[in-house]
Amino acid sequence: MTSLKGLALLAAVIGAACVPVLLPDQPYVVNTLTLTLCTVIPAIGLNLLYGQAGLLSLGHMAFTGIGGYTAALLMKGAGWALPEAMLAAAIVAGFAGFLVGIPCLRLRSHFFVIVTLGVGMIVYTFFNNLDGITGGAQGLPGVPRPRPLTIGDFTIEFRTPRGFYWLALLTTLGTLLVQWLIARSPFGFSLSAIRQDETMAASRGVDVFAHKLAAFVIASAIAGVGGALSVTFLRVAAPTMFDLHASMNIVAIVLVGGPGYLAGPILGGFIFIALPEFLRVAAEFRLIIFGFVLVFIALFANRGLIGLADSLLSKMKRDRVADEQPGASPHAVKSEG
Amino acid sequence: MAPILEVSAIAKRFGGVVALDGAGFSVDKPGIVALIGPNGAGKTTLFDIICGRQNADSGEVRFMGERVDGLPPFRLSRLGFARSFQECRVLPEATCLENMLFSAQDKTLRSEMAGIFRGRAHNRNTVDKARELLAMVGLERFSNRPASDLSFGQKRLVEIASTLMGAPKVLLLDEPASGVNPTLLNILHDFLLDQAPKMGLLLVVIEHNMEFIMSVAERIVVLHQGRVLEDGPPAAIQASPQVIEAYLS
Repeated sequence: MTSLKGLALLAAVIGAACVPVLLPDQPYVVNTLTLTLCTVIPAIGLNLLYGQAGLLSLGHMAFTGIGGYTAALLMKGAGWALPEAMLAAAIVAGFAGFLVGIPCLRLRSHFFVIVTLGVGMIVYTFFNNLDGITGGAQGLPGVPRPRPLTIGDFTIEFRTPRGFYWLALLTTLGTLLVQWLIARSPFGFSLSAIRQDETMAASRGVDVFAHKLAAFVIASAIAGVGGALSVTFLRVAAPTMFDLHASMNIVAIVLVGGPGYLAGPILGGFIFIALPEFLRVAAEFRLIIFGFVLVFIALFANRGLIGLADSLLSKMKRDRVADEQPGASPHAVKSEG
Repeated sequence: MAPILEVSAIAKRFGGVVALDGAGFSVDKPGIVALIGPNGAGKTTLFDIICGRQNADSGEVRFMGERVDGLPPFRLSRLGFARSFQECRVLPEATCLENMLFSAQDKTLRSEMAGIFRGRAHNRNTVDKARELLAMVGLERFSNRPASDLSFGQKRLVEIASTLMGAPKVLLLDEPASGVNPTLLNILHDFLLDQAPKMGLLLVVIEHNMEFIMSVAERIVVLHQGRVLEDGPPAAIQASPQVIEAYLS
């Protein structure tokens, strides 16, 4: 990473952290941002799966739900604290991903996509009907707030919108860190090779199934963390939070934001969760607009909005190089040291 | 010592069509071996069986004495097999240099997980080797360009050069000359003749371009109707009446 990018990232993080301080009498804005981050986290998991390994899951919120219900049960029933419950949510959701992944990942391309749709529906049906465990359609209300955190004289209350926002921001940064680590690692390169050409990757020694399974488990675990955060924020785990509509929402977030880009799910989350809340567009119109936006993205920006910006920027850069060196082709390549 | 590659009595049928009917050959020392034959002779099927893409109905493939038939492609790769594809497969989004480095990477999940915090830091020698090979095929100036920017022939050169980064013992090339213009084909020709002995490599090449194959291969195996019709040095093959008849019939 260049130092310029690092500085921009630092500025963005500090800016995001300052929002509640800058807007002290706007709890609605802060809560909307927290809600956005709660959805962005599972989208980060999906971005890892689709953007990196090329696996599109249409039922990814199933794993968010498994994590969410796990955390809700542990915090409500067994009195666990949030960090432990969140870790447990990640482990249980990751394990569920492992069990689902073993049969499903044997399928290629669109067959896999269709099966994930089924997984999402089946898991949702369980949430909705296992009254004894999940509370059925009513869900599990009354999930406790996280306990206050005291560092020296300073106490952060998660009861307040501001405190919870910081918690959500920190969790989001944690999952982004995981995605960044994977993206720059040899493991991420192998996943990217699978996305680009599975047959070629296998012929060069990539165990395609094992790699896909590992990616699926990590993406499910990240989704589980998002679920734990959501149920703690909304103080309820309910089936409709994790239904097909919610799954499609994070698919749209990833596709519009820019699959494979770190900031993709964040931009997508703003567009699909925060912006409609702020603009107060009627729910029905929202779906119509989403439809148009998705068609536009599919036609003109198949690497999402960030991908669109990225290619425009690199085109500008190439043109500038061409202007500076008359006679040189715009495709001339920098000489190597 | 066991032969490097021993393919014996491979049979394969697709429904009523007999693709291979006891084909086999054995190679004891590194070098360039060509697999030729008229259309429908079973070349591609035999090639796919050696590469682990298809399973034979009967027969064996042995590598250094060990049976390798039925192993999936990624296991064969880890044993020291590499291959190119007729349709040419590179990573389109990765740069040419990254394509080279990808081949050199240890791709077992275990080592990848152990190195998850290290990033893709490549050892200096590996990068030098990659640049050297790219320079040999005349593509060093494309090092940092995505492979999708290349022409088909250039992609083929990157594909074949990158397979060598994994230091394979057996390299299988599926019609390397097809779709490659004469200039690039000359580069490929010289590259193969230069690298194969240097790396102690066994090259098995399927090819239709006779001029190319006769000037590259030391030994030619001719397949016809699923069996080996003739096996010998290029001059003997070109003089064989059986081979001429098979091609003309």
